[in-house]
Amino acid sequence: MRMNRRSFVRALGVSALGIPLAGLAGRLASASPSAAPRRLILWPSLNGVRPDLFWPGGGGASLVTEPFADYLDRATFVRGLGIEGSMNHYAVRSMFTGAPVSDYLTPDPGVRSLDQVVAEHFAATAPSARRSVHLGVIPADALELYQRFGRSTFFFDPTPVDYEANPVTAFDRLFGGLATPDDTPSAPSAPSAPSAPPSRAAARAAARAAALALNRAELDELAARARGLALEEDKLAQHARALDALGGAPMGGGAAMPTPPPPAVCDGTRLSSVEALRPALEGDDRAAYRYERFEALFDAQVDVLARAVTCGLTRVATLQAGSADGNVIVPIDHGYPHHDTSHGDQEIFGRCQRWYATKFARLLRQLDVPDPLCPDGRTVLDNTCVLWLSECLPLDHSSDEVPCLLVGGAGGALARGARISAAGASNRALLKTIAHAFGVPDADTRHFGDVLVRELLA
Amino acid sequence: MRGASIVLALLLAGCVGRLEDLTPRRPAPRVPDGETRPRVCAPGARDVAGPRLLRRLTREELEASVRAVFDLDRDAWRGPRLAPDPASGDGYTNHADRLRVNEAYALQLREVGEEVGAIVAARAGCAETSCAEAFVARVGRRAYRRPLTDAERARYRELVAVAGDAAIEAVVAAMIQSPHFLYRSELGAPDGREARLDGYELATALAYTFTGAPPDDALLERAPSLTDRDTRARVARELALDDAGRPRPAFAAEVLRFARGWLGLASLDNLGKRPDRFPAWTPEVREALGREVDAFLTRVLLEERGTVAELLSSRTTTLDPVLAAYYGWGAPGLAERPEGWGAGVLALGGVLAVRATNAATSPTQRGHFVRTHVLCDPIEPPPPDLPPIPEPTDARTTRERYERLHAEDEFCQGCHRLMDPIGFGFERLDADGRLRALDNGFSIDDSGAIESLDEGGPARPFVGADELAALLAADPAAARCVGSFGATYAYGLSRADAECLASGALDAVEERPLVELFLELALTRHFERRAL
Repeated sequence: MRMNRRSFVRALGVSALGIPLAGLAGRLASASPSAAPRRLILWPSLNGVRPDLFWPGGGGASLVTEPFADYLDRATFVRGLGIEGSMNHYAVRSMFTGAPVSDYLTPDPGVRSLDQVVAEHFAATAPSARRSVHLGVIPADALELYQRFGRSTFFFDPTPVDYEANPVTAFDRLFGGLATPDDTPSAPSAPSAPSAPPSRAAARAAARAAALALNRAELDELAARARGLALEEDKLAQHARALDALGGAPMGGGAAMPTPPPPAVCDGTRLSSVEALRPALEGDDRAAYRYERFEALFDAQVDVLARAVTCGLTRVATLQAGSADGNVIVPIDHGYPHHDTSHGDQEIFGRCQRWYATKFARLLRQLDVPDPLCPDGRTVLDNTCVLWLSECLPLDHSSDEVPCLLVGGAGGALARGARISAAGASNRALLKTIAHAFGVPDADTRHFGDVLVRELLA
Repeated sequence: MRGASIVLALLLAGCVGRLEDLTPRRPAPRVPDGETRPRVCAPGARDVAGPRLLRRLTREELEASVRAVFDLDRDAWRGPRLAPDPASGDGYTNHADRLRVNEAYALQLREVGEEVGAIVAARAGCAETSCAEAFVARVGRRAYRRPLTDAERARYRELVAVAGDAAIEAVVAAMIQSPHFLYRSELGAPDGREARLDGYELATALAYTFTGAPPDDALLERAPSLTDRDTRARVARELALDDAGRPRPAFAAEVLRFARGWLGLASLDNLGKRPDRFPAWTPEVREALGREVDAFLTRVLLEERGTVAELLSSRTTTLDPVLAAYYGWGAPGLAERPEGWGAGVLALGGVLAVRATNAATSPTQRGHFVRTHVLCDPIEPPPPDLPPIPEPTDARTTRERYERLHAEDEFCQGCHRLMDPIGFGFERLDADGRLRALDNGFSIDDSGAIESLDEGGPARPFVGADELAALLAADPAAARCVGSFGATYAYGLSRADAECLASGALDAVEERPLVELFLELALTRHFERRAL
């Protein structure tokens, strides 16, 4: 088997910047959880970009990073990072899980991705109304292709995590029924607990618990009928775990933590970007896969995600725009098909990625507001880690030295404004370091290895 | 065998080299099958009793079920907000092993249940305990598709007591989240050396197979009689066809779902063509091509109750003004395709355009579809680490390019000999779905052959898409293959297994309308019996 440079470095037992976890007691102590309401946002950037168009030089922003130049002083670039054990588009399943995926036919990782690791940690320690939120912007070239291929990209729990690709549905699901400043319902959905009077909310909670118990008992009876049918038993066991999780039991076991209602600052005020799409998209998921709506969908999903994270409805969110092997039309000039262009003129592809960066800037701007959950004056962005990471580079789709940047300080746990040279380092070290910064116990991140990128820690 | 579409993706990623003016090499998605179930049928087995199953409702089935059970039209309820169902390697979204309940789905289902609960409760107009218990008695049988057991009724009584004035809402939410609502039980009960589905399970299977919805009260009343084969045959026909023998709308919708899944035209919605090569290609044309496919399937399969042979060879199509102008022949309405424009569903403009790049035809994609979806021949995927192949510099036409790339490479030729020579037959039909006289300014050779799977075996030569359509229409293997996709959709298992489970029904598919095959599927051994 061919050994690439990164493998070679690892084989020598040397990591240019990573240091063994065991030798990091001081660092570990300094990165212990703080009171800051931390958030994590993962932003996969598909197909990468030519290095000189991405990495900021001495003169400031690069072509791609210029749209969010105002935030570069709060952005840390990690250069030299590779996706370990994988390459090409199939690295999408490796980049946030740390699992080796050596080709397209390799089975799914079977471990949790970073977002789910952190979400599970929050669920067990400081749960939010939504454990995590996963949005897509045309995450496959068609709804049917998402159904067939798209759901196994990036995020695992440890089975593939579904995305919501319809921003109208996403908005209604997250904010529908929440009160608005003028107390006008924002969407035609069932009344939700937070807007109900306390006695009504308590009755609803009791009824919900009773219904759950009823369904759980039925599931047990059905499982008894299916005994001996291995696949059906497995199916029902997964269903039972899901019901238990709905009841508040952490998926990894342990004490249950009740799911809180959305914070009071979360409201159902309509988002103009979502409402502009409502006539076309409400009740029609296929319509959310039309290329001509790419920009409008993107803006709407960014706005939905930003509100959910900012108000504390969730503390973990991901957004995938396009698909690694897809050809959604990037709306610059006359429009360029994403993946095909990654194999073509790199100046043009760089401008495509710059367009994506304008959406990244849209997100950062919305996070750059006083944190409503944190009275000490820090912004949401201060308390967030927004990770931009590519699975590979254009043209040859090598996964060495992929674009990687982090914005925000995760509540002071991560360095800001650093330029880190991490030649030969693995994405697993990055994942380990971020999880560590969020206070996730080492025992829950063993699948990320035992090496940290210490320069990333504040 | 891996899913056919995966094979196609691998093929595209494999041997076809890259030209700047053609769609570059596309990566192959991961195998998505999730079909860990061992093969049900031993080689050569026929009419086997398949596995005992729990089939989670698809999103469409769930919506239809909620509407039917709680009597909600679109004005009353907008429909479920659920994640799209995953598809199997065969392309259908109702595979029994792919439809699962994870935490995200359970959460979404709870939201659906509570939303519907609020709507139904507001309409019920009563909240007292006696009212809620009567509601359970009335609606429970529809929701569970069988009478509730004493234990189940007792649980609902407890729920009603806890929920108080929110009892109706809670009951509805619980019913929608109930595994007895959510799963179609095909477990049956032991009966000798096999399991036999009871009347209610059979009523459920009949209703979802032929209407995509749960059994109504009348069908539930007849449930005990459905173990009788003749009764089942009669009920299947009543569900599918009206008194005049015409397909009922719900059954027609199911047949179209099967046919669309078989054709796999998902990418048509966003399909683009290079404007410098295909300036007439517009979003309006693309949408018209999609409508043409639907109209063709509806007419041939449902209105004319055609056979697979007619599906593959009908020269009649339905044009609207956009397509009549685009094609340059015929008038809006039914029209005969002129000589050279091919015949049957495979030569429809939308089908041809999807199986092409944005700039050129793709004999491999077109041939691959015929192999895997019309002949059901296995095509092994190439190794995933195939390097790019140097682009030939002396190829003047698409055919020459593929011959240089594949036919002259022994490794590639091992598989491509089974596909490309079939695809060459469509070469007069361009990537935009229209007839062309020349390719890159050169004359077109559209001779081809259906090569034998056994290397050196007899080939079936043909010239052009018309002759290919005639060859396929006369091939019993094609009728059986297309029919087996129908069984796949109906039974929610892999195509290879479905073909075996429905082998008796498929024996007659060559001579009979395809819709009759669906009716036969209710009479197979698998439909009422399962292996223990």
